[in-house]
Amino acid sequence: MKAVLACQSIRHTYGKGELAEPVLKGVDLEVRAGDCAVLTGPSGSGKTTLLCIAGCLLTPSEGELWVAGERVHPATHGELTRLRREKIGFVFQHAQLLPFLTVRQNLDIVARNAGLTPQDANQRITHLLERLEMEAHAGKNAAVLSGGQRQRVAVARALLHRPSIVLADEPTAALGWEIGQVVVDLLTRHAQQEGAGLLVVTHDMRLLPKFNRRWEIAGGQVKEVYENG
Amino acid sequence: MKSLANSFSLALLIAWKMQVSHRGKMLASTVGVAAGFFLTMAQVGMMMGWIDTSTLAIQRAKVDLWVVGMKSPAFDYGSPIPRQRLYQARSVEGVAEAHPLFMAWTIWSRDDGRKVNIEMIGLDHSLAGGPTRMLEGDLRSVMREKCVVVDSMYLELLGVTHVGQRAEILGRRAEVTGISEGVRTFTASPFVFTSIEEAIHYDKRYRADEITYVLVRCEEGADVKVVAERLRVRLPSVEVLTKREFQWRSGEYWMIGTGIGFTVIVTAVLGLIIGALVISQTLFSLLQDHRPHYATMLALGFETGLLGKVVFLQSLFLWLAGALLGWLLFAGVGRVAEASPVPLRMNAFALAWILGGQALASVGAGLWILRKLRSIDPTTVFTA
Repeated sequence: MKAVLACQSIRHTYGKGELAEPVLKGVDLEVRAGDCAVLTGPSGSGKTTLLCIAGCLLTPSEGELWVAGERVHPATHGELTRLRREKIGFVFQHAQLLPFLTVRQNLDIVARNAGLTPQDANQRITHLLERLEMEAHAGKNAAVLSGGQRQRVAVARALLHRPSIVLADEPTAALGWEIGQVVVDLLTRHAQQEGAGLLVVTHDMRLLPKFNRRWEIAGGQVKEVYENG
Repeated sequence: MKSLANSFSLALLIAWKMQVSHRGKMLASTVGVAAGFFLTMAQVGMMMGWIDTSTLAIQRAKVDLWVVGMKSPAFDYGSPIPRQRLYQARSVEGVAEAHPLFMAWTIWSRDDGRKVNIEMIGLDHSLAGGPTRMLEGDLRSVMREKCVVVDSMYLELLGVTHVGQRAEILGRRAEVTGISEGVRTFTASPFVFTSIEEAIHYDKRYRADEITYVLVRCEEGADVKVVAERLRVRLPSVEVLTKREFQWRSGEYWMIGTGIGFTVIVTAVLGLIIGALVISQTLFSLLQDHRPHYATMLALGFETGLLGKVVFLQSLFLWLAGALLGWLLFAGVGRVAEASPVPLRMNAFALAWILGGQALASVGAGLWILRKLRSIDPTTVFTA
């Protein structure tokens, strides 16, 4: 399987001079299409920094990043934006839907921004909402949804434009255990069905069996804990 | 082109939905922008109304050229010129007709003893320079001895209740024989119409053979500027002005010479600034309220340019809503003011300038907000 995300010798330091604080000290990590990978580590270990770099939101101090076969750095602001728009799907801790739009509109703007035709966007939104059992809520304002419903919509939003890699940051942290499990199941199942790689950051060790690869970050370095076929 | 339309329609949806999700705030802001808009329009409208009123007598005369005393600053402050200039003007090639007009400042005594300053206009048999609409009586009646016509707008001020009423002007008895309509005065001293022969009794600055203006109509097809030049050669001791030149001079005197215009323009600019401030504060507040949403959109790959369009569209919505409400207010107040001595006027040119000025101010506010937009860090979505 080809790598959809590859980090090679990634280093990142916040601040300069005496205040310099290295967070990542040569990280190597690879996620392949169809992988459901999880990244764990203590608070402050650099998980979010790594996710920001992998999501083309932060430029690493050193090292190389490859997303969907494209070498990312050096890249212009516009190129990074394009990669996020076309190749990456995001699921955030609090879903981060736009509360002034309906569920369908939340998905529609992302689809159209990614360049899907209105017809394709419409079909794709209907398809994903059905699969995530959210079609009955399509016309509702995002602000009135429950936490679990919002996260389902966030999953749909992340998969909508058929990204190569889906990055999820603590997608269950704001949810109860039952609903959290459902969301992770949906995320892993649909990411695999769509042929995307998935990298989830979580603190919740109970979720680990749901992933076939696990990476752990500590001391600014990442090591693969296991890989299950 | 397709992608531009797509980006515009996306920005439109986001801008509109974001804005209408704050109905109360938007309503308050729209009222604020409308107030600024109204202030600007009212000031400009008032100035245009003043200019219109201050030159109304010149417009009403419907003549091509005015022969006036040297350096006469405005219609209301004409100086005596010899009557002979009238005959000289008539002899100039291209002049179809020339008529005298007399303008005197005098005092009207009401029945209750109150005194009112008036501008007494003396007409000749052509009635050139007289009112164009009569509510009661006949304008020709002023040709009779001791007869005057007053305007309906100033009946109360003059203490006139009906045609036939007796009045006293500088110790001379007069009878109100007609009531005109729409003869406003800029000086707050009402125009009162009578014959030249009568009017000359009321201003002691004039000798019996003096008048204030010669009103000249050119022959059909004659070049007004050429005729004016001929008159200037023929009448070197007076000034010959086209209707437009005299209007401009009168307007300039009242608006610039007295400083009124400066005050009005400063207030009009203040209105523009108020509008821009309300727009920028509203946009800033919207941006602050939706900072996490902008960060999310940036993280999801929305271009900063597209989000900039969202901000610009929001400033456009506010501008449009403010302009519309401001215009409705202006139209309403303008309708009420129509019956007052201070009418509001507006033309397409002035309106275009106000709209353009307010639009520029809105764009400026949008640009300021755009700088704030650029400072949003999309990585905050992971820490929100």
